[in-house]
Amino acid sequence: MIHIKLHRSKSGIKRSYFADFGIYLFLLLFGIFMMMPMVYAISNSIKPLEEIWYFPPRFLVNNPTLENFRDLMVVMSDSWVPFSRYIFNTFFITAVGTLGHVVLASLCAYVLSKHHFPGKGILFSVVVLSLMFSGAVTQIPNFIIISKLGWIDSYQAIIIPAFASSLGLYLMKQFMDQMIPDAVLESARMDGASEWNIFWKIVMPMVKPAWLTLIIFSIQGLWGTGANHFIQSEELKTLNYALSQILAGGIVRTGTGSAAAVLMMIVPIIVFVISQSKIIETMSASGMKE
Amino acid sequence: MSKWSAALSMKKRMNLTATKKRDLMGWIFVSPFVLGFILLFLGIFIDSFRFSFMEVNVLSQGGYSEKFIGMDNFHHILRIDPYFNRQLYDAVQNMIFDIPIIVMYSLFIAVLLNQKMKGRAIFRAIFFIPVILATGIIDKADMRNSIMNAYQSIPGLDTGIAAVNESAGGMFSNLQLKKYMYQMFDFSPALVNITVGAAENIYNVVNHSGVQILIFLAGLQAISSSIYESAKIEGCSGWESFWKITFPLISPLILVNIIYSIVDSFTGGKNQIMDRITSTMKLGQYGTASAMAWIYFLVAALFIIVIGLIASRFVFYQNKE
Repeated sequence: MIHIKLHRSKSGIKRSYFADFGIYLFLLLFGIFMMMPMVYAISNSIKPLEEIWYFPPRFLVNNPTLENFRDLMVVMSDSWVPFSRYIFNTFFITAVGTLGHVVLASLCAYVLSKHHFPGKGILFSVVVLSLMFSGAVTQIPNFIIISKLGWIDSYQAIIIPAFASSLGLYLMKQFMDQMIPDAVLESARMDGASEWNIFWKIVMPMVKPAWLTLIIFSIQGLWGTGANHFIQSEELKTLNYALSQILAGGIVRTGTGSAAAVLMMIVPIIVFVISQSKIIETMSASGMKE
Repeated sequence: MSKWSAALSMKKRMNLTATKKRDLMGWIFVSPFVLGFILLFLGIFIDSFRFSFMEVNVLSQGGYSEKFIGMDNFHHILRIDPYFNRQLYDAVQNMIFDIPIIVMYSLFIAVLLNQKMKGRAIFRAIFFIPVILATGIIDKADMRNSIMNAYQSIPGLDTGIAAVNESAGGMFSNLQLKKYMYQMFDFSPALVNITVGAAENIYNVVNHSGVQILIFLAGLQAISSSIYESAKIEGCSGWESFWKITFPLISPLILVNIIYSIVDSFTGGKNQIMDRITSTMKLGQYGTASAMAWIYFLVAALFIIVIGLIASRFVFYQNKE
């Protein structure tokens, strides 16, 4: 019998108030520590220029001002290519890249985790080994391959390699090992479900926390796509690149730069909060009743 | 169970290629990934391996020339280069000290963040912030330096005890702490160095554990609450249910996180060797850089294999009886 539980019962393990207090205290202490860089970045972005250069640097702002953001708008508005183009590029690359990566990595991970076929072991060890291969040395061969494919100066040059990122595959495979009991799949097969249906209707809902996590990682990575030697025309360049060009304006742009950094933080944080709130802790591991 | 095997054998009788069909299905599912992989990564692998035995020069008129020089690149790096061995050793040493701390810390935080409590989403977001800050433009705005400055300008932030030492310029300086420890306790110098190193590394550890915390969180969410409930009814304490339920069930992800942390520490930008490889690339010595990368790659691979083999003996999978 299969019964996938949709709601975890409300009666979790009750703790004493003392334990609650301890947890909050600990999390608060570490939380403050983790928040520091962000608070500093935000307070830097609303500092007037002269305050940024105080030495020793002040942590909090004295006379908050939106001057930096206004400057950023001014700089943005007289860029060569309309600024919205950069924003579109980044959004497009992030969305398509993440979608493709999550779907392909899950498909591949499902088979690697739950099927047996010749060549499986070798395939998986190649994936694990490729995790360790550093990007720096692969520049020349990478460029040659992309150019032979004729992808120079196109979105594919960034998006397609993102599909095949092996880290996501590795994570998904391990999550599936942990989260999906073989018995669920067996009984689905007995009921005559096709592999495709099993994948979309059973496996993917069961590993929802896993792919939501993967989405966060992927967006996180792609959102930061900056200047890239595959992309030459200005119309295809990313937001990150455009903002770093503003930064390259030198010392006077320091304030503008921190404003830009704050703007760039917003999207990953929103994505994170949304996807974490979607992981309702309802998916029970096995859903099996023996 | 028997029904299933009967069905399987019946299917086998009807159609001899049942297993082959499933093999095929497997290959169909992996093929998009494998294709991309072969197309985009395999060539790179092979080329960079080739380059490591060659002298590669980028020509000014475009393109590049290559000349086979055998093991010269490797000989140069390992025997002549005065720094490489030392840096490799340091990188490995750092990794060995950091990884247990990172994994334990992130498991601990993940377990806390998985508790039912108010403001959990906010806390989760907070613990992921360092990962967001470490990318792209935010990094480029040279935040790190100014943040480090800010940290140092706030007494008592890092260690708590540092407030005592405020007049001496904020944090307990490394040297003072060491002297203090030598005097107070009869610690051996090696132990003192490790402890001080670990304290200095707190910032590092906290900053590098965001991804691991998330991986653990996703894993913890997959553990069925009914197991905890029945354990509680049997009179299991929280401590026991952590070690007897949570720990075994999360152990596959501990292995994942160990491997992720190794990869992260080996390929991270702040690694000396990586800097070295990148700067060698920039000098135009592609052959040498490729050879360095391959040595480094092999060392990392060796580590992953050894640690993976050791750790996987302790990993518990729910499905496998």
